[in-house]
Amino acid sequence: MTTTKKWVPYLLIALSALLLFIFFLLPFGQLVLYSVWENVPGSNIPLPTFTLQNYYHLLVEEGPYYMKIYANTLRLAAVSTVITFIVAYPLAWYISKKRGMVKSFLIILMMLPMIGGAMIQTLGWIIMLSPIGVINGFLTSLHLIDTPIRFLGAEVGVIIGLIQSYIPMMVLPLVTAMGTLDPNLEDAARSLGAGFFTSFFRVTVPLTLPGAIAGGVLVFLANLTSFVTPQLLGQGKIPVFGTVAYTQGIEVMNYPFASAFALFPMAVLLVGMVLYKLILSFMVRSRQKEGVAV
Amino acid sequence: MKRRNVIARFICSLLALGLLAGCSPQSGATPTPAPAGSTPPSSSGGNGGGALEGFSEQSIAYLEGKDFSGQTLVVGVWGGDYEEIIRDVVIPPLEAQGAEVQLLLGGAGDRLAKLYAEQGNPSMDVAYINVHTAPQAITDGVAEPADESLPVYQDLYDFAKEAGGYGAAIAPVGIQYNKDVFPTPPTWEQLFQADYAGKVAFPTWPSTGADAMLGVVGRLLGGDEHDTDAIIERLKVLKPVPLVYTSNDELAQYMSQGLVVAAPNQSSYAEALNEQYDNLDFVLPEEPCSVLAMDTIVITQGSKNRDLALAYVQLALDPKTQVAFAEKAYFGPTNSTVVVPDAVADKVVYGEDAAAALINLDWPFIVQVRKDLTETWNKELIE
Repeated sequence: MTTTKKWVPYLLIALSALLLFIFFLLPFGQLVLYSVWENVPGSNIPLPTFTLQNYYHLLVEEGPYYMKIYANTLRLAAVSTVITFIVAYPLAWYISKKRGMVKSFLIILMMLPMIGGAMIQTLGWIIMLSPIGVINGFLTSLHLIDTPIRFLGAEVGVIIGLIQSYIPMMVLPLVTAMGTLDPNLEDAARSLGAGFFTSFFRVTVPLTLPGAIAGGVLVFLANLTSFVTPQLLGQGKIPVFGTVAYTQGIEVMNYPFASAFALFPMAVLLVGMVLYKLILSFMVRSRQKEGVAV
Repeated sequence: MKRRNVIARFICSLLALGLLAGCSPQSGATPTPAPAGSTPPSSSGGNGGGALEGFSEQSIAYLEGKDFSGQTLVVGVWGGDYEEIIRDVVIPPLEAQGAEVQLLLGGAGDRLAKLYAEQGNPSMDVAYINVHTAPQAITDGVAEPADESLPVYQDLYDFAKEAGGYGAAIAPVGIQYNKDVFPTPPTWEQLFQADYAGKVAFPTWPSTGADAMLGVVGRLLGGDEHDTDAIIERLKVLKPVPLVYTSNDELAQYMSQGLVVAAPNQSSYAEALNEQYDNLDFVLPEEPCSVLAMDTIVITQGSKNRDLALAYVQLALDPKTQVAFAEKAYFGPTNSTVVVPDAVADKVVYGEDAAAALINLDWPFIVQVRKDLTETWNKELIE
């Protein structure tokens, strides 16, 4: 019989913990510090004196301006995620039906845009969506529209870009989830009289929903923090979390305010989670007291 | 069945090869790529005189006898024309004397952020920044004030010395316009009128072009760049803004198609575009003012290769380099001894008179107002 020494598990995680500490916790701590340091007028170096001015500016001085930016970011991310979801399901279903080389080929094809990175895809979209670009040119030459449709500098363009960027992130978990489905289930549903759509929506979708949600969460988070796509396709007119943080931090070099801007949603999330847990445990305990089965 | 399998395998392997070849890491933080380029060391030995051909006597004398073997100079600079000209003109003589020069490409915003983040232990020895950030960088201890003992420093125009670094290239902000719409060049007064609402492209905020707009509109209203409320009110007549241009190609495309009739732009970029598009032209109105926009070289505070950095600056401001910048990229020289060839003389802002007409804004104020005015500018004008 072998026994491991007590300190072995700690040793194993020590390295990762150290890396996490140096490359995440320390810089994150610096960010928190910056958010309560003072931005000296006319200087680019924050003054290490404690001040709540940055949060005051964020929440009070500019009125609801920054809250609207957070809300807009959430809204755009949510809309993009939902549409990605709708587009990804049929695509994943089709791919999961294939086998072998064809399946690999389709998966590679779908993932090709990701290879070039966000930059290349977005530049491609600029060519497609510009008022003098491919789509508008096509529609104008067919006399279907008189004035070019405004995609760039509007939310439509940003949403299109976001959807296309993260389809692979949604499709892959779905393909995996669908791959674990027993293929007989769908046949069984059909044999019981269900049509194609009925069997899809009442058998396939509910069973693959966990995979879809996993993909959906990934896509939603990616959309929330996206920077290149809203910056280039929004042409500065669509302020979202990523673009405002970049402008404030790197372009205008107001690190204290940029840090406060970035940390505030995180603080809200933390408070929300703590409240949620407290309320949940309170409800559980009150039910226990009443003698109700929890 | 077997044949289909073979074909499928073949296509898949081709794709895989293609992916491997084109595989690049997820990037995209900034529109300008920032690879660190390094040039191979020069093969020739002590051929200093040959490598310094075309440079002024002053530079040749300054570099004489200096051995930079084993030293590596890191220069932060923009890509494109800048990179090309520096590689062709400035780097060879330095390499002939043993140095290795690496260019760190990128935009000014990222470069400035890097300078501040690395304060005390800079990875760059020489950095190209802007006239409005130079004074602040020096006050904050991130960059060195100019070394007045450097021979070429004495030849610089006064305005190139004022900001504190070494003024390197001027490209003031004027109006780029569509010749079909404006048979005679427009003036600033004309441009900011309701007639052109929805047709004038704006530069991004923050940017050199936006700073110039503050200076110009402020003076049109009888004040100056400090009257930001009045300036924003005045600019509102141009809403809705059809385009906030992030690249010159974007601006040129929109302008040549008539979606935008005019925009504030820097002379160097404007002239480059004029070469490519027939119906575009550029004018630098003197009323109410012409705002100086200048690329400034600074040596970072704490650089370990200071002598090599000074030699670099000497060569970068030498007439040979400045003429190259004028010819290839239409940047105006800051060295008063430069004679610009006739072919480009009228596209480039140069000469004591033209230089005297350029004004410096209150740059510390501009640095602060870039922070303060971001929300207002976006709220009131762009969104």
